[in-house]
Amino acid sequence: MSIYELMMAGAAVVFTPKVLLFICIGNIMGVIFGALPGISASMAVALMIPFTLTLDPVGSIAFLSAVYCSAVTGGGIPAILFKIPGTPSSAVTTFDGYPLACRGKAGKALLLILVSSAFGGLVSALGMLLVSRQLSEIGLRFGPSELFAVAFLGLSVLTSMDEDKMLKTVISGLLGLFLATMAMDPVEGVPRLTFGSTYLLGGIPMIPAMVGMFAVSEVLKQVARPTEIKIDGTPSLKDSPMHVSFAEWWSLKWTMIRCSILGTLVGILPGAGATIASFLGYGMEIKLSKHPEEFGNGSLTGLCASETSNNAATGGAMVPLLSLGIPGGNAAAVMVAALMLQGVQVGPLLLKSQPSYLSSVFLSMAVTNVLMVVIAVVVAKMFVKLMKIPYYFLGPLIILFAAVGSYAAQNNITDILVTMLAGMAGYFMIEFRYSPAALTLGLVLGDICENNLRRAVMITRGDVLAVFARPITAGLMTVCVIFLLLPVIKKFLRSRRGV
Amino acid sequence: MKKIALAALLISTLSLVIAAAAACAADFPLRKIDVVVPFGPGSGTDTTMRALAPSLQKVLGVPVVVLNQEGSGGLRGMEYAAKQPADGYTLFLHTPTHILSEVQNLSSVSLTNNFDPVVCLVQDSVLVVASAKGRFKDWSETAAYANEHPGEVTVAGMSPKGIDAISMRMIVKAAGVDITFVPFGSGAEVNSAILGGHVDLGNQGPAETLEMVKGGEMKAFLVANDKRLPAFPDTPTTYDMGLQVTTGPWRALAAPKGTPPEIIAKLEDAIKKAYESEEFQKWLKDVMLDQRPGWKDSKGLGELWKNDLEFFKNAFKELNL
Repeated sequence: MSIYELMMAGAAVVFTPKVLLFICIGNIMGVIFGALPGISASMAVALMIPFTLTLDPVGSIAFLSAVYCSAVTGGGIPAILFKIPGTPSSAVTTFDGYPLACRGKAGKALLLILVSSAFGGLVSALGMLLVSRQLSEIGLRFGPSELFAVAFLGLSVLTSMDEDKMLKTVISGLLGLFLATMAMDPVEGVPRLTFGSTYLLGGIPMIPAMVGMFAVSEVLKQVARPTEIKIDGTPSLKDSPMHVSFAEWWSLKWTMIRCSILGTLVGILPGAGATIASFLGYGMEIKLSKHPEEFGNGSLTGLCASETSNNAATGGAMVPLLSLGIPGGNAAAVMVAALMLQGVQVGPLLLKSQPSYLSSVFLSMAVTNVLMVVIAVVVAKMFVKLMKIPYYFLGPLIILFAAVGSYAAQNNITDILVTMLAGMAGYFMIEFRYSPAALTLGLVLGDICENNLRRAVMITRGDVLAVFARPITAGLMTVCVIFLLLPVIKKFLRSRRGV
Repeated sequence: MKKIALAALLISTLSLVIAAAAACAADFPLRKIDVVVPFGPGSGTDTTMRALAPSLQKVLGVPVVVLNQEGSGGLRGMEYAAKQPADGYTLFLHTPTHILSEVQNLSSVSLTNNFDPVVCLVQDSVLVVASAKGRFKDWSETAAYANEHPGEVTVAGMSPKGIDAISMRMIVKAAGVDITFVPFGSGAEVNSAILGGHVDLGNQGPAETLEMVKGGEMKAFLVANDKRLPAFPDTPTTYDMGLQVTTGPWRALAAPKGTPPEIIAKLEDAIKKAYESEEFQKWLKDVMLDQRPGWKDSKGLGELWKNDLEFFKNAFKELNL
């Protein structure tokens, strides 16, 4: 089937009034669900499943992928405005988005993330359309040892997150890795550091930990030292025209391209998704940046890297789903369930028997990535209105949102406790110049690092050298070592010169 | 006077309570029924319940609501369901995971002590599969190679002490060979590890593999059952190979301990009707859950619990877990 015929088949599905209407609704719901803390992108997709029963299977998957893309984008809105990651994949967006908002540049930050998201989403959708078979084969080459190397590459950013307090950042990251081990041991299947409670058997839940670390700790900081950030200079869209100059866009071109490719590739990998993509994209840009010290203080590059990568992962996640029937992440797994409810079996034969799946998902994602920018601006404007509330009301409201969001993720009261504990821990970490961001990095990557390393060693029957002798792993690990040590050596040389 | 009024009030309240209790069994159900699913949206248990719910709703005439209470490997949902009133308005969807947690003493709540069996819905199977491009042609060849090279053959499966891991270890033990079990996080990760050639074998259910086998990406080596599965007519069973292992995950419904037997009987009838409905039967066929007879009534499920508890206790002892 030629690409023209393929696109026509997809257009016949997507450009019908009913499906288009569903995609529009999916966009609105996706952005709103994404923006609400506690509802992750995969949960937003799951919540939309009942609506798919009136659509045919191809239409449903087009609709659900629209919800998925827009939910990942929507998560960035509260991340910038309130430092609450709306979805776990927007945690990185808080690093640079919130400092920008505090400087009254919320409008600029929002425009930047929406356009970066759309760019990342479109590039990955194109990749999915044109080379999905090849991409999924690349994805399959990443076994346990390669996945460990990818995750470790993410950890290697620790030494350059904040070069002035490198030691404290590394300690925070290691603490995160340690906290990630509190769960059921993934290989032996025995409870580890759970203190006999069943709660911790599933590990520390990501949404409460992130919401606490970023949002609650920020409110506590505002209470303790309210003068530091002039929130009264209400960053509304009117005060800060949504204007990013052409020169600024042009300076971000390589960041966008690099992060789109990286995000798509990470999205394909089994067990990694939008959250890990955004951490890796951010890390890669710090390493390549000439001004790594700006990251974390409102760097446009950092913001762009985070949102481009996490949206690029959405197209990536669909690649193995459509070409092999293996979902490339939680949201894609929910889509498989939606198709199963309609009696469709996904597998390697799906595209051979019905190629319109590929083109209709592509068209739906293309429409979504353009449409969601408009919708997200409207939603963001509503959220910005909340910023006009004086901080002595807004602060408690943020705590309330954080609590509700943490509860909503799993309907579990204990999660709220975790949020508050994480909030207090985050506050003290900031006070003593440790890094909550580094801790979250460790917590997110800890699982994938540990599990894959242990699997890899099991496969080689205890031969650790054989694990690292594989070509992709060896290459990635060499890069890791350079990344890890370069800032240390630079610092050492600088101090010697100083003496 | 006041005392008499108080007594009258007490008596009338009491009679109301008694009337309500009596009405319970006769008019059950009066309001919506919650089904606690201990795994997240999109999981196998969740889709099974969501496929059954519309038919059950039709039979019972009240809404049937699926409540996802995921977390802690399925234990949080069990602990939540155990705390709900035993009035038949809360059901708990469970799997052998909850028997296994009892064997390992992972929670203060246990399935057999804190719940009454209602019905068993489906019985799934365990398959041993390999990549079509892999180094082995079939199970006999794999077993022969593993016999000469102990520990060199790898098999991917899910949670290390979950139902599939235990079944796989039982098969391997019965075959008298040494195969390394590598646990992965999800069925999707298992499939990509097999297709990518990172492991030799995989441990999967029929729904996850049928399309792969049809598409020529995977070969099915073995099914843990005494009869061949209709969808895999060419795949030998463990019994064909002289291995007496027939385990496989099932999904069943339970009610908190102390639910009146009349109400359980009513639920049993209603769920049976919903189970036999055309829509649910078609769905079972579509997702390959019709391969082995799964339906069991309350008594049958109670026996299944007892047998499985016994079986897994022994398995843990035998396998030194």
